Amino acid sequence: MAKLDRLVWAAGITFTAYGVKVGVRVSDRAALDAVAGRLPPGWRRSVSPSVTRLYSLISGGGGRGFRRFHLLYAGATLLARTLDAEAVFGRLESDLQLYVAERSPRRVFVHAGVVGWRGRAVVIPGSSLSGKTTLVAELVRAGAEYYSDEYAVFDAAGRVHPYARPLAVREGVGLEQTRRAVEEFGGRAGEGPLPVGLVVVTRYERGAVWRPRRLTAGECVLELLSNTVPARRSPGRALRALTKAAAGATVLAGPRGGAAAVAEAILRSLVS
Amino acid sequence: MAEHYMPHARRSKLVVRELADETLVYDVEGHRAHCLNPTAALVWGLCDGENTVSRIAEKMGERLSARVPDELVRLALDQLADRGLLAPGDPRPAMANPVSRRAMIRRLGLAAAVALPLVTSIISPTPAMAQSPCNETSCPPGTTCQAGVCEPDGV
Repeated sequence: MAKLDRLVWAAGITFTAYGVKVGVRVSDRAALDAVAGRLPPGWRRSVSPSVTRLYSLISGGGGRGFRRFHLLYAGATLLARTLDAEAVFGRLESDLQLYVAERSPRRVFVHAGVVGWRGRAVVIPGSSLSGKTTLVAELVRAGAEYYSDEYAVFDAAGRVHPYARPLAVREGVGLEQTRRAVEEFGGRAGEGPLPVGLVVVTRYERGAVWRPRRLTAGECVLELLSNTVPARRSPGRALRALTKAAAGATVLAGPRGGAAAVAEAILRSLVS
Repeated sequence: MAEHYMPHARRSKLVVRELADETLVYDVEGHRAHCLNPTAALVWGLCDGENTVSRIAEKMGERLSARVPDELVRLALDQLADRGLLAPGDPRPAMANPVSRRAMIRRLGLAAAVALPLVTSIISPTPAMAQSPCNETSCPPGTTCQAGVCEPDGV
């Protein structure tokens, strides 16, 4: 860390997100704009220089006959060493997201897609590549409000708060992730916290037909907990929030086929 | 020996949350979470080191207004012991004729008034497991998953 501290830093930013104080310093002032675009939703600039994690980004790039790596550190730990500038910003974003999700003192972050429908939240827990974003996009197309395609952010009362970053859609031959604003799907982002009305435990399977079975509240909490970022760090707090969230929710589980047909069925099941 | 056995539930280093009729238990040592269905929760709650298996069955029968066979309690105890939810050193005797869940269903029949005990468990994820941004098969061509991130090949 001392070696990093001895370098010349062109600019930096300290901010708070969900109660977590973080700093980022950059060797190239131009990188700061790209960094700001990668901060967690709802971040606020902080005047205090005191942070619990400091990222250091050393910009690389090309010269005549040589190329230098972009380097990213969290504290003294090297997170990325790459020639691809986008990759280093992506790594910063994902690590920041995870750090805030794990350390937030007042919120419980569960890896999940979330939409709002008639005053209640539909929560779709699952890891990446389970088809969450595709289903969330279809639910938004069907009229639901967009809350998140990454995290369900629960408060102590079990309500879900928005984490409305642009949707990370996988497109193209290589299924590269691209970010698309919710407005591109004809929807809009929700604003206030919502009680949970429905939890959908599913993943895409080719040819599957949506014939869900109901889970109990306890099984629902286990499903949410298995996608909870601070499950090990704060199990008591996580269980309190998740049991409250599950208490009033219907829980449906099963594999699904195409997202469009399932989206309609999901919204109907929340009405009935 | 088996008839004098008085099971003792583990209570330390656990976070317990009661739901309407289920019980959630988080083991902070093993980082495993368990959901006890109503029958398993009832048995676990009666494992105070002072009740024999038969007495637990009797007490359950009183609460549920139904006959509860000792085997059903033993089936619950097997699951609780497997999940580390009985106290360390609990002197659980080996069952002479262990009863499988399937055999119990056959014996009690589908019309049983008491649900069979069931403990469902998960391993609690680490933050990175909960995130799982990529794995060895999920990255696009020309990249490799390194520490959870798709990094360009050759770096």
